[in-house]
Amino acid sequence: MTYVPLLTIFVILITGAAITLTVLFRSIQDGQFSNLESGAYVIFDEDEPVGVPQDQVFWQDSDPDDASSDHTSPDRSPENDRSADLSVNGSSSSTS
Amino acid sequence: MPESQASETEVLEANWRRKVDRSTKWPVVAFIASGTFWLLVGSVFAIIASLKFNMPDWLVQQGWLTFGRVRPAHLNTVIYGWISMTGVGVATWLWARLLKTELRGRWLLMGSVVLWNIGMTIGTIGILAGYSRSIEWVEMPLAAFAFIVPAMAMVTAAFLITLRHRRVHHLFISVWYTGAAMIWGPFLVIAFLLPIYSGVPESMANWWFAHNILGLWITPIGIAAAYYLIPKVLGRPVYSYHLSYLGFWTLALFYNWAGVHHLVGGPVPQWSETVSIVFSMMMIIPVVVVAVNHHLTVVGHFKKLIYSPTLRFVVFGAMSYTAVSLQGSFQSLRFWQEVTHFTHYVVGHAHLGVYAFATMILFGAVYYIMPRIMDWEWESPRLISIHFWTVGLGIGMYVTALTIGGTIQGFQLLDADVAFLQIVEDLKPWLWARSVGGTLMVIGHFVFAYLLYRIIRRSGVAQTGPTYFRPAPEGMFGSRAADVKASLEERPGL
Repeated sequence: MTYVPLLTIFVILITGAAITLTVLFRSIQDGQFSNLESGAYVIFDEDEPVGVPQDQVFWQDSDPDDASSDHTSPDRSPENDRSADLSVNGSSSSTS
Repeated sequence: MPESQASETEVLEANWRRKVDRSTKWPVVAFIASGTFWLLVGSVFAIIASLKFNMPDWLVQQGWLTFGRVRPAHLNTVIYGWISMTGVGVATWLWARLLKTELRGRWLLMGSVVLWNIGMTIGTIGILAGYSRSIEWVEMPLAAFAFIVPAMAMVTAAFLITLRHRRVHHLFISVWYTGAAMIWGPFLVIAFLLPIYSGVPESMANWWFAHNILGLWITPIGIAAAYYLIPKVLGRPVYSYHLSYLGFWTLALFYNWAGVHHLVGGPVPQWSETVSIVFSMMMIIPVVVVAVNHHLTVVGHFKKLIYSPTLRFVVFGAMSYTAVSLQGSFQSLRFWQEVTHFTHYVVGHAHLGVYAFATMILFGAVYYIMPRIMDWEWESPRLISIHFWTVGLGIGMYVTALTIGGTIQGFQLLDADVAFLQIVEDLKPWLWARSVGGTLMVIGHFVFAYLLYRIIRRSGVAQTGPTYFRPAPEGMFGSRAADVKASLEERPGL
């Protein structure tokens, strides 16, 4: 009977566990799990803020006068619109 | 500044986002187009295999067209071709966008596409030529994996390089899912292909692999896309961001213990089956977490499904994820395995996962991504609608037929008083329903491929707005894009 397969499986298991634990602890040290509440907002930008549904790529040719027309108004409640409070490290402001 | 004009920050962010999107263009197009090609190939194999249940004497004169070759050719082309390649395409776009940096390692990704396609070609021809390895979900000859494994490793390398250049501190939950998939996927394939298994342990490793390639490679990419697209299209943050992390880490900790429950009743140690069943049941935790999170993010906004193709496909997929996962957990229990094992019920379950969940989310993601990287909108809402209804109805019919038919089949197989031929006769209507549902899906795939071909070529009339199923009431979907556009035109250097 050879123990090579079993040893190989143990090596794989230990490697996988080591990678997982390393990622977990380094993430904790890096503060990835602190202040999670604000993390949910990183997908929103100044021009695509929270509270404004966004499903378009082209620039909408909208007439400002139509703003008062009868349509579903997006949810712009102050408690939702927190995009201004968020600071994203290394955000696009460094590009030109 | 006039009120209608956007702030400089808004212009910069919009400009940067477009730049990031465009940096992913060719790798994403190459992966999605290749994936769609394999979807069409796999669909043809699928419909041939399905019709053989209805017409057993059809296409039996040549070995490469027999069920034993066509069926694994279907499975391997859709798993390693369609789902994996399109999944990598979607993940690549998500990765750059969520890390807010241009994609790095593009040549690695383009090289990966080439290798992957070579591997798929060798594998598919190999199976049809009779060189199947006869290991379910890994039928392709080793020569195929000699190309696919390096291709997967090259994708992982490109992702790690891009990660090092990220311009965000916090990693959004989709980054966790996507990044983990890029580690888990190659890890699983390499671990299973090691030449250390034989006999019963090989079967155990086989089902550990087959189960986990779905749960730790395909599923995380689907969930990642849903976690980004649902909040983004709705303009609402994830309902509970804390829960999303609980879902991720419980998936990471629980899922890989499962798989051996596929061998309930087989000659494997009972304890290994029990461990697998226990962790299958524990998977209810991450599943419920994701389900609650997605549902409560969408609740109150279901009306938008009428208009947005992306949202409709993705929500369909997210709801199917809940269904297939809960079904899978209970399916692992011994009393239910004894009924459903070796029946068409399992085939229905597999399609509920790989198709109704993962494929539908990938369709939705492609509908969102392609206009952004091609700077061109989808040509025809009517064709997108046909695509949705053919695949939606098709998979619904398929899963329903096989779930009911498979359950009846399972109980009959356990009843010694029922003749085997009687079971075959009773299955016939369910198998016809399966073929009809499958045909609908195949039609949808060709419609989708045509739409993809048209948008890659930027064909048709240039549109001034997004493609919805029907004109959306003004304000339902919008952004400050009009303001930003005006500013960009005035200050193109920004």
